[in-house]
Amino acid sequence: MSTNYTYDYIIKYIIIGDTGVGKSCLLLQFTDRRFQPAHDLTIGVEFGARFVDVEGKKIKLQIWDTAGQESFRSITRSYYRGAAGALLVYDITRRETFDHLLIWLEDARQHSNSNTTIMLIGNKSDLESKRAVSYAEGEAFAQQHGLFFMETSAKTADNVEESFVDTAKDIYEKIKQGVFDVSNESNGIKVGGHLQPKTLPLNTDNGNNCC
Amino acid sequence: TSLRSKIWKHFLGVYHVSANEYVHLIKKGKSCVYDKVRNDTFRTLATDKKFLERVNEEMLIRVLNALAWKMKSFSTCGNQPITYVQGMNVLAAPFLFTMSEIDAFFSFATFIQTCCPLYVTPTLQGVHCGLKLLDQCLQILDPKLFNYLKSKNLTAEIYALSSVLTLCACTPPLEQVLKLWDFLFAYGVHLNILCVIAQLILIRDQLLEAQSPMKLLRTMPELNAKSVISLTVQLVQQIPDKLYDLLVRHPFDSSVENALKKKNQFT
Repeated sequence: MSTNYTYDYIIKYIIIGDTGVGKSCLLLQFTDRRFQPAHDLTIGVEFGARFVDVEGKKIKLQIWDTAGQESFRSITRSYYRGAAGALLVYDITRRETFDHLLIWLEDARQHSNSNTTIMLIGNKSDLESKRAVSYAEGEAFAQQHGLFFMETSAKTADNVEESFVDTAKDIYEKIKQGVFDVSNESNGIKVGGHLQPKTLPLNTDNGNNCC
Repeated sequence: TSLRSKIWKHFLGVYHVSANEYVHLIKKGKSCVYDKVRNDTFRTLATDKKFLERVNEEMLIRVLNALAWKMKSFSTCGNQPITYVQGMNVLAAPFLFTMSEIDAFFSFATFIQTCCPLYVTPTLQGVHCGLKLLDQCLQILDPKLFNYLKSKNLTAEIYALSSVLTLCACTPPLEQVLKLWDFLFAYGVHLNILCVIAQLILIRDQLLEAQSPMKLLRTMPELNAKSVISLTVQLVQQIPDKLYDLLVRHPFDSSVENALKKKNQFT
């Protein structure tokens, strides 16, 4: 594999939540720093990547953006296991997308690694006049279930950067504390060759280096 | 396009359309999937200006909502009813672009009922079978490419789902999609699986050189129907008969799912 160390860590994320809450727009705002009002709905899974800097470490975020409709749930589930971070998104202007959070959370908890960091995101914060879920409610839900919480706007980019980066910070903290078994890529973290212990075989291509 | 409209109807076996029936279905009002439909119609080929000029959102809503009513009294595939699933909005789009609304409705309904009913079941059964078949066919047709993609954990389920579910209608430009559909309606929609493989083979060198092939596959390269079709025709001949039989049946025959569960049958 790579001999020039382009990254210190690769961390995998998954974005989940009801259809139409703005998952793809959040990803696009984060990776391309733009908002696309007219776009096609996600069928299956889409993919994006970007580097972020956490404590001087070059961290590449590989992000899988999933379709929200139930028909695609079986596909979504197969992505949970390989993700160290999950962004669970609802739309603050559509109450039902908030009401479905428990279903999503149950799914995530059942299928993901128990150490996965979950960030709850109330998206579309720019649409204050159409708000149907208060900030306090979102915050309370997050506290109750041990999630991080932020309200974002994929349109204005408000808090988008922060939501992805803060998730990375928490995961990096867990890496430092040895919470994750980073020798096993299926936990959603890959360590740059130069950071791996010398005793381990150097980053043999075991077929897990997705993308 | 009026010629294409006639030819598509002929290929699909749509010899009779009823304005009365369509109006009746519309008068029934909101079906149980209406909200879902509304949530998707404005996100259908949303960046295609020609499409947006010719087909407005109301037409898409009417066709998809009317289909839900029509399907209520019609269940093709045993106990799995056809309702609305995401992707059907994209499948309906080329019909509305090519035909009058009434022709489009009856052609789309016939297409869903007869060509690929298993693609739109709640579990997308036929799509998942199609994706497994895509992997199996690619393994036979281009083992090097198959193994390279597999080494990057890229199976058809990851990179080809939307191409399979929408019969490539998600890949612009739309006028090339229409030409591809001429071919699929003439010879069978199952061939779409090989058409997706053809699209991979057309960018084979780039894929094999790419450190991250998923970046290339994130959006398929613009469709060129002529080169995809001519390559597909060549690929057909290399598929073993047993596998080809499953390929033909997978969009409408639910027994294909079990046949595919028998591991590594063809490799």
